[in-house]
Amino acid sequence: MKCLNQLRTFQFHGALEFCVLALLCKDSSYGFDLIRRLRLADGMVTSEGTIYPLLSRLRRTGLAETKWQVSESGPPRRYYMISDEGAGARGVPSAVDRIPRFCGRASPSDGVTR
Amino acid sequence: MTDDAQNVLNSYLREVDMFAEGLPADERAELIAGLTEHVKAAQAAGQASDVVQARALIARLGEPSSIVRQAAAASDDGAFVRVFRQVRGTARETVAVLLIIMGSFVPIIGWVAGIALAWGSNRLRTGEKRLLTLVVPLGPFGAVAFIFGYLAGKTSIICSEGTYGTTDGLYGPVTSVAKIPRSCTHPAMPPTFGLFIALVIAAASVIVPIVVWLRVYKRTTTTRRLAAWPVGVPPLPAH
Repeated sequence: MKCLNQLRTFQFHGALEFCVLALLCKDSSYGFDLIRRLRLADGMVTSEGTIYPLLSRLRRTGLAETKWQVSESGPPRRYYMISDEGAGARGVPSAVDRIPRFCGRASPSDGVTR
Repeated sequence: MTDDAQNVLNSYLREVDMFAEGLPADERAELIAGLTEHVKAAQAAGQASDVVQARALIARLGEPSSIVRQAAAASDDGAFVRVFRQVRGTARETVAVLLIIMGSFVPIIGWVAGIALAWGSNRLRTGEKRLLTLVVPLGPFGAVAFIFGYLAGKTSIICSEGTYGTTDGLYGPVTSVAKIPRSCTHPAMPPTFGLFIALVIAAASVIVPIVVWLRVYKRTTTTRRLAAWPVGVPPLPAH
């Protein structure tokens, strides 16, 4: 079962990058909140910790940008937002249009404001 | 938030950091910072207030080796290979455990050297280091010294017998001689029980280090097995 989960992680990893970029297109977000939204899509994230390497990669490749923000209810948070480069990346705009189908219920429409 | 829950989470973050030793320093720091922020956000949201919740949070985050593997796969060229080539074997722990067990050949120094190696290892967990140090101090040598020095005295029967004389006055001639009846001091515990304790201590001094080594070996092997999985991170879309 563990191996099966891991396979699913790899299988969805490419889809996950699009999904994260698409979510960031709609709204900037921090890791914990992104994961909460992605968790709503069943099976999309089996190992939540692997989102952080993914976010780090998006930042290093220039597709996402980050800024630190003070939080009222916890530690300072690193907010991720899509860069112009990321928003123009091939496939991302169409993925944003398909968010409900593509990323399950993880769309920003579930109570997350822009 | 209990101390136990905090300890469980700290130990998890340390383990991820340990596996991430082959990542470039800035990527390693960013990964740990991200996970630490995640843990703190979960704590602020009341999702890690006791050990059960902390363990559930860790289970959702995933295996440390699996996270680092993804980080290495998403890293710059070559980092993946470097990470898992740098996941060194258990050579240090093997030498440490051998010294701890065989330290009796070089009394005290051998054991101390083994313990020093063990405490310098980042593969061994703190509890395991404490076990190695405290279960039988000085290892089998300590066990043998204990058995001979303490239990031998407790289990032997010492008897005495003799005579004493009665004198006339303090320095006067001996007027009569009496025999002191034979008397023996009996051991505090029966010899068989003492032998049993001695055997348990001697066995523990060998078995505990071996069990600790097996645990470390198993953890390292699991990491290597995970490292052998094919990576399925597709390239990012071309611009």
